[in-house]
Amino acid sequence: MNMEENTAMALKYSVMISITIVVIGIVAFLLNYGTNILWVGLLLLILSPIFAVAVTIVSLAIEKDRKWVFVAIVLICISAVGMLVSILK
Amino acid sequence: MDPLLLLTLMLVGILAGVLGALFGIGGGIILIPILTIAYGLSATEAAAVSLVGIVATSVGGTVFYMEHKVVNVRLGLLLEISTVIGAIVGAAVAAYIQEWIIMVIFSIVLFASALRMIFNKSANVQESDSGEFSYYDIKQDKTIRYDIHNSGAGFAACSVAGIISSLTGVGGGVIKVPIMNMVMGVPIKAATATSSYMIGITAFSGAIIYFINGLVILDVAAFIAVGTFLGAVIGSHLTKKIDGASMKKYFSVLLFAIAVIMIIQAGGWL
Repeated sequence: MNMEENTAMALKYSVMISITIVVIGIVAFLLNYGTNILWVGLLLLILSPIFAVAVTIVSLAIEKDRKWVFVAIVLICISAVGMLVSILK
Repeated sequence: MDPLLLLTLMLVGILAGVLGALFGIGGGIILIPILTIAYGLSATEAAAVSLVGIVATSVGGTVFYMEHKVVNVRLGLLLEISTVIGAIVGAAVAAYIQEWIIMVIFSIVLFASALRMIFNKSANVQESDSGEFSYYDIKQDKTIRYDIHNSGAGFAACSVAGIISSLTGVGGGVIKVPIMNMVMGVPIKAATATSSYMIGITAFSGAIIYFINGLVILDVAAFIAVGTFLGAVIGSHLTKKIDGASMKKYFSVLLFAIAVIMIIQAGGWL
């Protein structure tokens, strides 16, 4: 499988798992079992785009596409700086 | 919140998700006013929930687009760097700039982009038989090949898009799609799909901070997330039935609508 296929698969499974947990969480919430399952499902959902980028980096590294591995790592670093700036504000 | 009210949130999410995935926008411009006005959430709560919805829209649509190889992942990664840099600069200068002035200027840019997309057909012809990139268009039943032009200009324009996004709160998709299409020569369907992929990465950075700080209202966010996810799945599948030319027209209408909303917001009427 190439980078696009690996990224698509990573995104597909992470979304399927997280949305399933969110739906289970909604049912649990409506039955007054609290919001713990919702918390887990939403966290996994929020993490799924960055998980896909991580899979992209690994796939590009396997393909020895160093230029784009570098670009993707720069993106992760810049995003981390952006998050740090947001936290410090 | 009342369970029935939460169910209506899912319908709102579906609407935002359909539009978001179809046009490669986040949907925050739809979600935030509805959450604040109709559901009484504070601006911070609405922004936090909206970001979770944007992530769900992005991933829900991107899965379909990636399986059909419409997303240009490398282009998305590259442009996302300049967008995030722009967003950081925007956050740094936000205190020194009047938000309403930026919103008015931005509205004018959106009006101009919409008019150009409608009337300047030549700016939209980028397909070439020997293009480096390609995707399969289900509606046209053929592989569309294209090249990317003006990478430097596109990179710079996305930085400006990031600054504007940061200053106005409007997601980058509404700016990045016209940039990719009109400046870089990316076909509209590949531009919206790539934008859909990018907005998930952008929204992640904001959403995770709100989430860790406990600012996301979990039940509201869950219903919005499921709604936007379902909407995004529907929206991305709708692209199978729409050709590129029609999509450009619809996107222009969307730009007009967003420009009007921004003028109303700038005037303090919303």
